[in-house]
Amino acid sequence: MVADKKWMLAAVALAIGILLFFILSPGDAARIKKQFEFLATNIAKTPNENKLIGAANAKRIRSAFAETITIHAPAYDYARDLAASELPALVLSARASYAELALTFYDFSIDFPQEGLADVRVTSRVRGRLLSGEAIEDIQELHCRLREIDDTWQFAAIEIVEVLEQ
Amino acid sequence: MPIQWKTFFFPEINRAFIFRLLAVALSAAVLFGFVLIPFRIQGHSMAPTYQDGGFNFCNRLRFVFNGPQQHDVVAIRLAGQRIMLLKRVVALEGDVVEFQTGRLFVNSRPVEEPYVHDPFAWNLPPRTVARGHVYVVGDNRRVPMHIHQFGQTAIDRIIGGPLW
Repeated sequence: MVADKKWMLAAVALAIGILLFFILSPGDAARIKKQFEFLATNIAKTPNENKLIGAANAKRIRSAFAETITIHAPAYDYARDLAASELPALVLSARASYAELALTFYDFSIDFPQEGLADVRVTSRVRGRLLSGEAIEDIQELHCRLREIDDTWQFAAIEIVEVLEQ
Repeated sequence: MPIQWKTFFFPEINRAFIFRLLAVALSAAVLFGFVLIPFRIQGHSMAPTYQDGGFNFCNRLRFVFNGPQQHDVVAIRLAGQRIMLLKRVVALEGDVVEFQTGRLFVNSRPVEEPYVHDPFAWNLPPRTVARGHVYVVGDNRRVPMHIHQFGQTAIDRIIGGPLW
């Protein structure tokens, strides 16, 4: 009976250990999702946002991107390589026309074609209000490529998928 | 309270009851997770047929035996099933679609669309729907063409249709 109890306690301790291991050391997929959350948090804009905080958030976004980012939007006939240093100014100018902005990501599908490389399919939803008061909502499917650089997953390419092609 | 009602509302918790409970929970999870997916309509793209805030189910079995046909309302997946687009099929593969001052033409013939009210004067030059695709448009054409999401989409993106 005592031996049974010992085994039981050992099994429970092992289960807790495994659980803690997974909680404390999230896998690559969880770290990639965190990068998307980071992006969403720093792009978001509240109605009474302090301008300095907005600028700081836009600047912080740079750390989530590789040195060069390829943006491709076939629906708009747009393809461009951007330097990460250009991003904060671009984000700031884009946010400037909104009074309120929220970005959410859904339905992650993450593949690792090779070590240090991740392909992510995700649905993005932008909701907000322009300075004119007009409500906006935009839903897109994105294909993102992330590279693991210095133990951090960074966005290297973003493609806006043309789900409906006119 | 009659004895039947009492046993209905306060059943004896025994092995059979737990088995029944698990069977019901499992059936509900399968039914509402894979066959009839509940969703809430957000936006005005399909107004007035489907109003913003409405509730419905996406019937995954709707197009299992017959593919979507002209005038069917379909749910189109993006990266997954949490966010879907609700649109109406107006043309099938190989058809030529065009809009002339708000009127839809398929293969050069005007199409009767009783579900469209007061359409904006859309003009879209003729285009052929690619193989394995259908052409979808929302019912709400009271807006300028550039702010309405429509176009051809791959049939394998259609995961079902609304239940009603």
